[in-house]
Amino acid sequence: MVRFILLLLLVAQGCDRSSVERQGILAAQRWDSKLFAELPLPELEFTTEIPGTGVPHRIVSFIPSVTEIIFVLGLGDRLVGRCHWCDWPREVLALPDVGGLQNASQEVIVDLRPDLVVLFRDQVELAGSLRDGFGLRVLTPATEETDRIDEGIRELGVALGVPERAEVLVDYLAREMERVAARWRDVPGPRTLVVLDRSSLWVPGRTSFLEVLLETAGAVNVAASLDTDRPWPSVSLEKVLEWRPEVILDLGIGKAEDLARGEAARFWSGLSHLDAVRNGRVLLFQSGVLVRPGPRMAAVAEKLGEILHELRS
Amino acid sequence: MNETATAIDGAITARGIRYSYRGGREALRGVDASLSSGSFAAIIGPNGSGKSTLLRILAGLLPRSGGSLEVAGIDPGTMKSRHRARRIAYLPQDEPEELPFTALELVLMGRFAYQGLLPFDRDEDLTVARECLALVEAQELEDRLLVEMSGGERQRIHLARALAQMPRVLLLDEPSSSLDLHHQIEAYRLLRRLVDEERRTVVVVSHDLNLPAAFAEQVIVLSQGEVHAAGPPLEILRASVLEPVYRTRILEARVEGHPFPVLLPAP
Amino acid sequence: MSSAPEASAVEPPSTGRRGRGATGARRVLVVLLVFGALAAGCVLFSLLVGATRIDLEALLRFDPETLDYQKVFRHRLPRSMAALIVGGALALAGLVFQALIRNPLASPYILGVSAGGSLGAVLALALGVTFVSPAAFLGACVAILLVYGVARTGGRVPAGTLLLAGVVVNAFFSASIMLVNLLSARDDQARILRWLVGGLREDYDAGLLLPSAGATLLLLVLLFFLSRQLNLLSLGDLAAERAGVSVARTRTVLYLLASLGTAAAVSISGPIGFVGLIVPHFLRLILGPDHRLLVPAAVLAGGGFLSVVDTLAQSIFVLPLPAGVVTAFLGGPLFLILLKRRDRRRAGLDE
Repeated sequence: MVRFILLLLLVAQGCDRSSVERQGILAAQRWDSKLFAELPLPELEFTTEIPGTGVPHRIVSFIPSVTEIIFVLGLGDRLVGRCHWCDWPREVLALPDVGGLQNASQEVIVDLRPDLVVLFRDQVELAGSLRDGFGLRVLTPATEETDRIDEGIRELGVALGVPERAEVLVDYLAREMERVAARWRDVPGPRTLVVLDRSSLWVPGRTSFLEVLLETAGAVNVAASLDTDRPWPSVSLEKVLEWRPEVILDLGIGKAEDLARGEAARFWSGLSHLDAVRNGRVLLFQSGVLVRPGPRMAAVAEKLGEILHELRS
Repeated sequence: MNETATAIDGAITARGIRYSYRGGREALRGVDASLSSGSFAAIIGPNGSGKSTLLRILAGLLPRSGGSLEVAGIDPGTMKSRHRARRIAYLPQDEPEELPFTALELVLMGRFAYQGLLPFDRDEDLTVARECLALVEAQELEDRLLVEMSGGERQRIHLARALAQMPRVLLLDEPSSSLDLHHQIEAYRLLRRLVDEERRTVVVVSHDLNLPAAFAEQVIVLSQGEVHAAGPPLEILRASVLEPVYRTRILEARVEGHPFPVLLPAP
Repeated sequence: MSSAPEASAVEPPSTGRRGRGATGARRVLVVLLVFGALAAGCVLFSLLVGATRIDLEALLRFDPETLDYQKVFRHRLPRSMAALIVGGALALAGLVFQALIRNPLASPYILGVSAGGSLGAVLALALGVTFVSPAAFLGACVAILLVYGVARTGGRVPAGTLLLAGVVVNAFFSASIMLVNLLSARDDQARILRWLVGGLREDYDAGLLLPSAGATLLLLVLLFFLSRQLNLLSLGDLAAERAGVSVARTRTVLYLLASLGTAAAVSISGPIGFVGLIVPHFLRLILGPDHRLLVPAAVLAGGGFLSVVDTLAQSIFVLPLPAGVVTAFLGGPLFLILLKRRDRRRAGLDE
């Protein structure tokens, strides 16, 4: 009975979606929504070898960006457990899932006998329990803080026994980010609105990582003017109207992509008085990697810049 | 009030009324009662004899487990509420005290059965309500809140509300319990007038043996769910009849000016 | 209000205490006008105040291309209308539930309707279904039927059993909501939390608002015609029955009407608390216990109240708050004040 009702709802929704998409709200979507998610990891040339001692052999990572960093540093084969949200590179999907922020499974972690567990700063209880209760080595690097990413990478490098390789990554990222920024430095940037969640209207504040990406991509983050230090403040639609964005990036596409697409189209079509909507400049992408300060950030910024500037012209 | 001389008969005919509780205990085991239209009856009996239960069944507010019943030409158990309310009015022993309404508002609520779709009080409702308040000598209380009244005043207002239904049959459970002597007599005199002048039927359940005796034509004695005796007060209100029912010695006293012997429990 | 006809020898007495007299069409009209004006004022307030500033001069040019026009008429106006509908429906439902259960703590949410609605919405959010509102309404209906089925004893829904059934169903659905929340994706969890707090959105369309407004209006009219029955029911089931109310049927109808009103409100805005609890109480303090006045006043006062609260929630802080948060904050102390007044009144009367 429940399934029947769900089916009805889905069907009704399907009918609705097609009529809306006909309006061309998503006309600009010539890029796959998984575009950013599937950008490749950088392949770096290292001059140092991985030492035989002082390097953890069984690593569990809760931080998606750290998972990527570990692979880039050449230690990907030492990963024995990944968090629920770690999805890149594809190899990690084969690893056991130890849960997410809220439902981390301590048992599964301990069972994997890791000699290094990488956790978010917020996971205080879990960190304490693994450290004090099970005597495991826990690291909470600064990689998730926008202005301390380099520091975090170096921290990770030290803990992994490959500090020189970490330094290579830091240099690489600095160079690449500068190169990308230079591409559009003298070009006027499109006023861009990024929305992480349509129902709460979360937008990237000036302290968010996305602000860094947009800046590097030569775009103007309309939400940067908000007077708050929160990385993802929520705003009212009126504010959005005032900002008059030229391009809108909707990052609300997730697992149930088709359904989310329909919902997004419906939402934006109700705001046809926004220039971006009227001109069909609403883009939908999977959000994961765009909010992940990892080794692909330069590639992401570059792709972002290319898309935004192409749309603009 | 005086224009209610309708052709509806106010007679009560009850045959073999039974009532059992869910658990199986029988409260009434086959009660017969017969009242002609325009008569006054009192139901007396010890606690637990089934008096209040019988009254509720007569009012159609309790479904009987067996027997046949006709009150004012209808079977109150099966009649629609609204129609029943126009013919039968019931007054229980206790009413909630905390009613935030004024006396007039409360009495007006008694007019529900006559009102149509629009929830406003019409002129005629107001007239009837005021007349009923006058009948119970409570005109001055019209705008007083019920919570600010004494128990006796409240009881009279509730009586007025029942009267506002302009019923053919009035079923009252201990209508004078909170009233002072003056108002007790006035209440019974009022009931008697309704019977005499408008041929209504009044049934009163009472613990007091003497007061109803002076006003009723028929007294029904209930004991353990059955009719122990029924008849005119002169026959029924005798120690010989009542002592086995109340299981205590009863004194009969002749008082000058009082038509029947006055009954008192022996100390 | 009518005067006694000359034929009657009874005249309205002159007592020391000024009373209320009878309630006629005129009094109801006065209530409608006064509260209607209040509600209109609240709506005006909500149009002119909000998350951002409005240039009044620019607005009065009524040019659809201007920002101010768009803000006020494409966003604030539908939102205000939604507030009127939701607030009005909740206040009405609260009024009826308080009469049915004869308990001043009764609210539209005590009987599990909103929990059912929330479960429907949460399931929809977790499964990625777009149509959250219909799912919420469906869930609420399931809860309504469940509570009714459990509470029904011998063809009627007595006050005590209704309350118990509601509490039980509420607990069950709340637990289910927690379970679904735990099992869902992180993005969905944020959205679920947002829904559960309860609040109005800025992008309502006519397709949702028009039928809801119609439904609330219908609810108002039906309840108004049932207002005498509500008065009588507040005296007790027995008192109502003997006065001629078909209590079993009337209680069932009232329960269904109030529940459906709640379901509609919850499916639009999620569970916004305290409106259905506080507004009827305040109105009773001002207007007295007569439902003929309370019913029309409730829908207008509830709507205006929510409209103002929502506007305040949008504008006081840097970031907009959902209305549900503000009502939760306001509701507690307001309710305490109400309770104190009641106790003081009662204590004064006992002396």
